[in-house]
Amino acid sequence: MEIIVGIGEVKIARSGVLKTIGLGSCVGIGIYESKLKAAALAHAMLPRSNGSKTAKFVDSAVEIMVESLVALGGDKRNLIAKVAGGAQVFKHLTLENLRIGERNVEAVRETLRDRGIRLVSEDVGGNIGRTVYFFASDGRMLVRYSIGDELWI
Amino acid sequence: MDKNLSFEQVSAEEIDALKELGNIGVAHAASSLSTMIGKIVEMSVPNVILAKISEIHKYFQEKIVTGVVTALEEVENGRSGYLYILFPEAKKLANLLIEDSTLIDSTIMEIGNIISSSFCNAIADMLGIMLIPSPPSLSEDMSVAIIEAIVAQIAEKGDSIIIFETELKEKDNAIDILITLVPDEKFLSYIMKMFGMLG
Repeated sequence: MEIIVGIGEVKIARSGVLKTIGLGSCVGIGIYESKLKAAALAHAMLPRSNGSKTAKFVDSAVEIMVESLVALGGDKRNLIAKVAGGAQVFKHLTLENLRIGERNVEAVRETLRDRGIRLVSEDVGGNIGRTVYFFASDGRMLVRYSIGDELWI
Repeated sequence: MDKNLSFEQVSAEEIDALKELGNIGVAHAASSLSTMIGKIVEMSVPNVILAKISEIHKYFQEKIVTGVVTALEEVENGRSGYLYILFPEAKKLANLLIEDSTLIDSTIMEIGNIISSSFCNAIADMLGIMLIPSPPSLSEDMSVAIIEAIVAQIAEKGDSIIIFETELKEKDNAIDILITLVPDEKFLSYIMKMFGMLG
């Protein structure tokens, strides 16, 4: 079963695969509870929340995922995280204000560090789009590039 | 976001107004294109879709598509949004217009330039604002990754995109083009103001 995570959304699953397509400058953040065998995947667009708690932002997306996994019976100490995305898809910087991709990745690292969640693997940066699959049963993450290459992280 | 600025209760009349906006924009583009290549080209917008950011994956796919991105600057308020023009049939379009398949990228770039500046002028006229488009930038990646990176630029102050499904015709050949307007909240409010003046 494939569950699609839209842009700016978080989804939780205990079986099947969570999928988010077309990560450009955004980041796909996966958090896995290893005892509970439950996974959460976010497709976050911007580094820091402006106060509203939505999955649009890296910091609030992580908060929502942790709270949801704990609400399902998970333990914060069992959480691990993986992240993919944060590319620079525009060749001309005039189009992009703030190098959002890099800042998103930095925000993921900081937010996870602050919350004591271990970031076990990542595939970030570059200049091409990615699609991410996050397997709820075991926390594996498959990254597929727009050019067709695949990478397990 | 302010409830008044949401597209949730958009009416059939408002969709028609957007379609009209799109048709005016592409009509200008078609006449410029016709002049440039010396063939009669017609363009129309048969359909307009208003989509929320979280629904984007329903309209944009993982396929690699050639496109052109332009940033829109409003004279009073600065960066106001983006235009992303997708050419799913880029090769066919380039062949049709210039009959030289070695120049696909530069042809697409030029067509993108013409469409975005015409479109930009039409919108600005209709809304009574001054809009300045940046030089277009060629994009070649999953269309959903490009639109996502654009949307991220306005995500703090916007949640909606407007997709103008466009058809370009030259004699019996028809080619689909997708023109997507990604407005920030302020820009969207101008569009809603235009709706407010209807009827």
